[in-house]
Amino acid sequence: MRSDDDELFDATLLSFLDDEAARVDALPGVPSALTVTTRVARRLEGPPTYRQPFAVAGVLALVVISALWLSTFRGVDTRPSGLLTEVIDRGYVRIAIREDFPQSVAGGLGGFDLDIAHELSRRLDLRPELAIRPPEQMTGPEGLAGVDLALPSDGRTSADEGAVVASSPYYHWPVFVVVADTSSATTRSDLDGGALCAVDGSAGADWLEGPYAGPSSTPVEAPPRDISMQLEATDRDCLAALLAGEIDALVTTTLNPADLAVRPVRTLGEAVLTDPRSILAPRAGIDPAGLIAEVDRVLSEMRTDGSLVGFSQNRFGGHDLTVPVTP
Amino acid sequence: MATTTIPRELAPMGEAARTSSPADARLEGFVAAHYDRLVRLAFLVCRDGPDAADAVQAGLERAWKQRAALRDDASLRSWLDRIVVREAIRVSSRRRTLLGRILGSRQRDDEAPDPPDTRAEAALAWTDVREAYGRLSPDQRAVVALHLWAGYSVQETAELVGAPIETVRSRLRLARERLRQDLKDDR
Repeated sequence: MRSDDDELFDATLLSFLDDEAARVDALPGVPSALTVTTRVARRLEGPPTYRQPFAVAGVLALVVISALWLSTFRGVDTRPSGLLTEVIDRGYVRIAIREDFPQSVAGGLGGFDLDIAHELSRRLDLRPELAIRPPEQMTGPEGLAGVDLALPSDGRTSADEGAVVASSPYYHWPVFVVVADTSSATTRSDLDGGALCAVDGSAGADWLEGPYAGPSSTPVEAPPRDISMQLEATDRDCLAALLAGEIDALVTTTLNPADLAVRPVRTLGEAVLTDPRSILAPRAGIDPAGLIAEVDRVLSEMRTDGSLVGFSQNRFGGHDLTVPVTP
Repeated sequence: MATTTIPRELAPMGEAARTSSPADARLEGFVAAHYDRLVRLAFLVCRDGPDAADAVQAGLERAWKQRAALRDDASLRSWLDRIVVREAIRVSSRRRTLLGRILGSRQRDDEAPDPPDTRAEAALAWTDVREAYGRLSPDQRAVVALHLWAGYSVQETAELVGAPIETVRSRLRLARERLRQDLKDDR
C-alpha cells in the first residue's frame, strides 16, 4: 500500500516532469511545428530529408564498404533488406485469410484466423490490411501476389517449401470419423466396405482416398478398406446424409469436438489425423525469413501469455486446439 | 451559411495554412494539433531536443499516412504516443552505444547550460532531480513519463511500450527507488 510519503514523492516528481517537459521549448535545435510539417510533406512526396546529413552519409558509406568487403572476402549474400524490413517501413502488413471456416460471415466476418491476424499485426506494431483469398490460392507465387502473410488454415499448403515459408503451427485441427449414435460400429474397421462421406478437397477426403501424404501432428490412422466414398461440399451436407441413413460415417472437415458434442453422433476413436496449420509467407520476391521468424516470436509470446489458447477457446467451443487434442 | 465541423487534428491553423494548398493546410493542422505535447513526451524519454523532434516527426508521418484507419481522437492520441515513445526509446538507446556517440556527436542537452529564459531559476532548482532522472534507463523514463506525466494507467502504459504489465510495474518501482536513492546521495 502506498504511503503519504510515496504520494508526496510522486507529486514532487510530477511537478518536476511538468517543468522538465516544458524545458524543451527553449532548447536549441528543436524545429517548429511548421518546419516539421514541411519535412513530413517532403518525405511524403519524395526522398527523405535528414537532420544529420553527414552522419547519414557516413553510415551509408560504412554500409557500402562493409557490403563490398563481405561480398569480396566472405562470399556472403548482401541483400540489404527482407520482407520484415519492408513491412515495418511501410507501416502495415498485408494478410490473406479465407472467408469460410474458421471464419464465418454471419453478422459480419469473424473467426479464429481473423483474430490471429489482428493480434499478430497489433504485436508487430503494424496496421493489418486484410485480403480474402480461397485457400487453394494461398499456395503459389500467383495466389500469394500482393500479400505478405497468408493464413490458409490448411496444413497441406505448407508442403511446397519452394513456394512458401511456414511458421510453427498456431493450431492443430483434428479430423475425426463420425457415426450416428444409433450405429453399431465401435471401431473404424467396422466400417470396412461401408459408405463414407467427406468434403471435396479436404484433408479427410485425401485420407479416405489414401495414402495420406499431407502433414499431421498425430499418427495418421489407416482408413477403412473397400469403402464407397461420397463427396459433398460441406460437413453439413455429410451430416445430413449421415442422419438420413444414406451413409455409414463421415470424416470431419470443419466440425470440432464441441460441435460434435451437441449432435446425435459420436466419434470412432481418436483423431485419424491432425492438421497442423501455419502462417505462410511467399518465397517469391523479397526474402521472407525475417518476417516469419518475427511471426514465430509473436506466436511464442502468445503461447506463453495464454492469449493463443484464449482465442482458440473463444472460437472453438472452449477447446484448446493450439496443441494436438483427442476427443 | 452552412458550417462543417472539422476534426481538431485536421483543422488548418495559422497564416501559413491559408497561403498553402488544402492538402498542406490539413497536414499543417494535424502537426500543429499534436506537435508540442508529443515533443515534450519524447523529450522526457530521450532527453535530447532534436532527437525528440525526430521521434515526433516519424510518428506524425506514420499517423498521417494511416489516419484513415484511426477511429477517434482518443485512439489517435494513444496510438501517436505509442509510436513516439517507442521511437524515443530506440533513439535514446542507440545514443548510449559507442557508435551512436560517434555518429551523434552533437552536444547533449543534459550537458548543455540551462536555457536563458524565464524558467531558468526554476530549472536550476531541479538540477539534482534532473541529473537523477537522466541516470534512469530510457525504458524507465518512458514508463515514468507515460504513467506519471501523461496520465496513462499502468495497464495502458504496458500496452503503449509493448511490455508485460509486471515489467512496467517493476520499472516504475525501480525508477522511484533509484530517484529516491540518487537524491538522498546528492544531499
